[in-house]
Amino acid sequence: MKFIHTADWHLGMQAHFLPEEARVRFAQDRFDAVRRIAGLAHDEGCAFVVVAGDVFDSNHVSREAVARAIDALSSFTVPVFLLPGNHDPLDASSIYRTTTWADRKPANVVVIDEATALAVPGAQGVVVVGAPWLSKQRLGDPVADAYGVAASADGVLRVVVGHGIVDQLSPDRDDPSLIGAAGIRDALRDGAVHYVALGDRHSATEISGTDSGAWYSGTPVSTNYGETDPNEVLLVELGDGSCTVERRVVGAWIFETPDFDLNGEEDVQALEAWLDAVPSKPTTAVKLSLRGTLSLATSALLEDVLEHNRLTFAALNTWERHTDLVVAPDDADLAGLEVSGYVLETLTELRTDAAGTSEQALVAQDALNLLYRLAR
Amino acid sequence: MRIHRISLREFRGVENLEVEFDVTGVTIVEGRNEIGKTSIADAFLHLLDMKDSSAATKVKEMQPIGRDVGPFVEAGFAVGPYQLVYRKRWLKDRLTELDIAAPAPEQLTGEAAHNRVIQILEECTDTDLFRALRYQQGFEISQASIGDAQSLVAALDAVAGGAGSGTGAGEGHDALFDRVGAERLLFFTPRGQVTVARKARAEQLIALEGQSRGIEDQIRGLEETADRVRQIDLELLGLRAEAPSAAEQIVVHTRNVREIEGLEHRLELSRLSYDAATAKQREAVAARDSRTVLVKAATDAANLLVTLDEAARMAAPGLEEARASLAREALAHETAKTALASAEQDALTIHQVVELLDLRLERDQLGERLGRASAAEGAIRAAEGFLAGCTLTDGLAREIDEAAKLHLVAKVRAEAGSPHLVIDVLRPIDVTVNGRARDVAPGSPLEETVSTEVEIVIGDVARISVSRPASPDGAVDDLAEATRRLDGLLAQGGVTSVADAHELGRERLRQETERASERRRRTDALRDLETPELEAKLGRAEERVTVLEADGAAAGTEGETLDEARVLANAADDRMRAARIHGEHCQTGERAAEAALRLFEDTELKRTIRLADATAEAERSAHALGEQRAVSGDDGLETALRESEAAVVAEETKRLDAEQSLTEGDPGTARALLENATGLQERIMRDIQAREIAGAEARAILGMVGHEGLADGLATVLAEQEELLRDVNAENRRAAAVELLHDLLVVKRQAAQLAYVGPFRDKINGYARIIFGHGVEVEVDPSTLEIVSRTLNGTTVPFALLSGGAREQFCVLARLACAALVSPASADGTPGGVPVIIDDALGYSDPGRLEALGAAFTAAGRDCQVIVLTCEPGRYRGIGGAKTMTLG
Repeated sequence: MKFIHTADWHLGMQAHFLPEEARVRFAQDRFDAVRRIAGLAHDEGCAFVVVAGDVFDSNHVSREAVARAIDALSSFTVPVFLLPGNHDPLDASSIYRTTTWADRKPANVVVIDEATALAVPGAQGVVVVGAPWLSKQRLGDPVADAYGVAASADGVLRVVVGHGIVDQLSPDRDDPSLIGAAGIRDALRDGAVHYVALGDRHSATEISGTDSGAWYSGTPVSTNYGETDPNEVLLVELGDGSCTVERRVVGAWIFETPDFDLNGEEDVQALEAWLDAVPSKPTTAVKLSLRGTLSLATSALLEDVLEHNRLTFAALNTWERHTDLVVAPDDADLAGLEVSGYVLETLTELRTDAAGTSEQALVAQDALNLLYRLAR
Repeated sequence: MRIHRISLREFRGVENLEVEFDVTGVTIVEGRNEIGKTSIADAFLHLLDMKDSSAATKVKEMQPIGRDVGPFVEAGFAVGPYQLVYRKRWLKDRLTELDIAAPAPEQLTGEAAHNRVIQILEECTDTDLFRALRYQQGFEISQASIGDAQSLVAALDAVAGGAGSGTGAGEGHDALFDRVGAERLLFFTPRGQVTVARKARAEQLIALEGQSRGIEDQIRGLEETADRVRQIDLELLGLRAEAPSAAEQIVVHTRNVREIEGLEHRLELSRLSYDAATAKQREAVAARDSRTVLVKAATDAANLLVTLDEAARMAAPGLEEARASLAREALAHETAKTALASAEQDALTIHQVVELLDLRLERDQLGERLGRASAAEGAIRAAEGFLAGCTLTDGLAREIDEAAKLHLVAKVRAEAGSPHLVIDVLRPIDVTVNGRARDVAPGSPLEETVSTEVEIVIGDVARISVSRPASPDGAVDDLAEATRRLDGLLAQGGVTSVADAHELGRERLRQETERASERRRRTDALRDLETPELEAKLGRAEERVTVLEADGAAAGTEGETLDEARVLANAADDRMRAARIHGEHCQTGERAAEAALRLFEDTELKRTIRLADATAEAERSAHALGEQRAVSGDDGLETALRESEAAVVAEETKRLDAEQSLTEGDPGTARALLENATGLQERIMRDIQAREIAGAEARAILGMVGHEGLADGLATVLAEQEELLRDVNAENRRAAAVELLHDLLVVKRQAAQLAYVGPFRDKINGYARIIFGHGVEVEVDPSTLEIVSRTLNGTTVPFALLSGGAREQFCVLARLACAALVSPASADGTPGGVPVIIDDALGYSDPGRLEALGAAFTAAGRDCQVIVLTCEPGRYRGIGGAKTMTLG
């Protein structure tokens, strides 16, 4: 039996850190990804689809986002189980409690509102047990109760759907809402469940020691910088005592944070080459970490390169916190300038002040750049 | 640049002219007016500037008037390393030729030659400075515009120890400075304030931050509301779970309270039975007591009847005696009242007699006093009449006496030594002395001392005049004066002589004494009254006498004296008082008898009433007793009493038993538990209701606001905010950079200008001391390099206020100083700088100054090429070592 495990759609998300044009495309692509998942499910003959939380970016997304989500969900031909997560908990303000949702929701879409064994319409021998978030905060393992519920459904394949951070992946071991990895492993080992579909982590990740029985599917469309394996869904096949998981790419958005050491024109050219090599610039956002020391001329070249590429990339910025680039005129810079007297004295003093990376030094570097530009 | 020679042909008024100059030092070109001295300088500049193809006005003006020839100029000069011969002809047979001898031979013609010269000039010299250093007489005395001269800046820079050298840097620096200034104006106002646009963006950023915070707060509020709803739902679940338990508690405690109420009812019944038995016992006691009372009342009533009858019998004699006594006392009282009336009448009669007599006496006394008073008043009026007419007062009398004494003394003094006149008439005849009749009779001669002139008239017989010899001491005059004063006083006193005056004084004294005496008499007569009051009092006495007499009071009073009448009146009063005392005594007796009788009568009346009451009571008691005994005998009552007492004991036992049962049931606790259970249920219902309302309200808020797309709105605002923040940060960074660069340039330029100005000022001062002596100093503006002021021997004068001669001298010296500064040869020996051309200057200078100026020119000539054009050779004779060229 095949099904698709996906999560963290974050429909309605507005990436405010992107330029407006890219932001609009980015938001639309999240809905388009839902249709791509529906197509994949159909193409692969999946019996159903589970979405392990955070279907919506917030319970306060616009009505348009809800309408577009319903429209995208209507493209599924198999049952789709939606689990409320911490971003869209099933509280009083939940989208799932709105009349729009109640009136328009496709019939094959099931919102998991409690931890009970749900039969899959049109499929025999499988139940889905979800652990929905009923509020923004939880004070216990959000999935723990589901194992017992699932175990009570005897004689069928049992898929548990949960949302949250597994303790072995969390830096904060005191977080009360962590999902215990040991519990997952126990449930799988005991045969209480056959697959645990997790959401919240945007990178596709297998829970270690589960023999492919527990996964984070990651987000089908990357949401931000720092996600290692986004843009995927998991194609899961449960057999008689077997579980295989296949990762499928459905998203195209890439958020890169490359580091570059820039100490000369060659380095700037290398950066330019790297940018040129990016395959899908319109769906790629880059945040550059730059280090090194550049002459005024090379700095101007760098600016030209960046300015040009900003026109093609979804976003191209320097990561201020990780950028340590000193711009200082070298002899070649100065050789091209016919300055003497007080201008030369000004230039000399600015060169002295421009040493280092202090705020004052940065201003002096900018002033040198300006002098260089105006005196040429 | 150094000019070696220049040739002019057909140039303005110059047909043919060639001049050679010293390349270092001073060349003086002398010549009369209009011989072409100024044309030399103009021709050289046109050679450099104007193409041979030019048809500019300047070019046309080169052509001699009325001659169709081509003006021609040729110059040999050195610029930097270049040695040039450059020639041009304009307008006719146009020509441009350039021969470069060094550093490499080169020959060019036409446009190429012109451009090559321009290139060489731009490369090696400062033509602007060359133009600035030219001084022409006839123009306004002005300082050279050398502040912007590149070569001067470079030279000053070099002299000041700066790193800059060569030409072209100054212009570039100023342009750069302007560009930095222009860049600065993109971010700051000219006054250094942040531009309005930047302020607006900063404010917009703050507004966006506020907006995003507001939306975040809204979202947070919604999330809290959602959490609250969940909390409410959980609480509702709990409360609804508690509700059945609370209802069950109510059932249990209600049952317990019902049992308690049963016990309470039983106790109440017991109490009622006990109360009923007790009441019955009280009734039996009361019946027995009532019978006892009734029997006693009947007995007492009978006894009282007997007692009252006996008392009535005993009281009858006393009552009769009291009535008799009252009759007696009443008769005696009546008799006494009659006697008193008679005595009072007698007393009244005799008192009227006394009053009449008394009044008569008073009337007589008053009449007599009134008579005395009237007499005294008459005497007083007579005395006052005299005194009013008497003008001789005491003072006047004393004055008269005094005057008489003085008169006597004067008279004695006058008569001493005066003739004594004795007139003895022989028959009675009128004699007047000085017009006054004198008493003279025969035998009674008139003796007179002649103190003055005396005129004696004796009847109609004789008029005798006696003259007195002159009195040497004025005694006669004194006498006359004394006589006049005495006579005046006598006349004032109304008398004719001193004796009359004395007599009249005595009479006046007597009259005053009489008046005083009469006044006392009148006072005695009137006493404390005035005459009208005395008269009124007399009138009232007479009127009363008349009334009394009319009443007959005077009857029988004839011959009786007042004292007698008063004795009789006193006797009558005594009798009347005795009769009154007796009457009062009788009245007292009568009242005592009346009181005694009323006491007897009251006692009798009360006894009668009591007797009637006692009779009625006795009858009633007897009747009631009879009736009661007919119903129940006395023994029956006793039996009933004993039975009721036994019933009370039995009912009390039952009541105590019921009370014990109720106490064991603990009614207070049972009711408190029921009340608490009821309250608990009510509270749960209230809490449920309150939470249902709160939940509904929160859901309504979430339904209204929760799906308005706040997250989208927040993202939109954040995007705008971040973009603006990036722009603002970038802008601020650029602004900081340009501000730093600008400020630093300003500081450095000011410092450089200050450094430049030093050498320039020193050079000028060096030349100026030759002319003005060691006490001279000039102040130079760092930016324009113009002379601001001159200080001579401690006195500072602004440049504009200097004399025309001094100003012109400083203008020339500044040019010489500038030329000297820019002219030193470079390291390779190439002469630098530009020539300074002085065209007929120093016309305002006196001969002494001209000589000193010559020394200054000589000093400058050691460093630079100086060309002096003049029409007055004598003006520049002081320049030692100068080469002189004479034109024409």
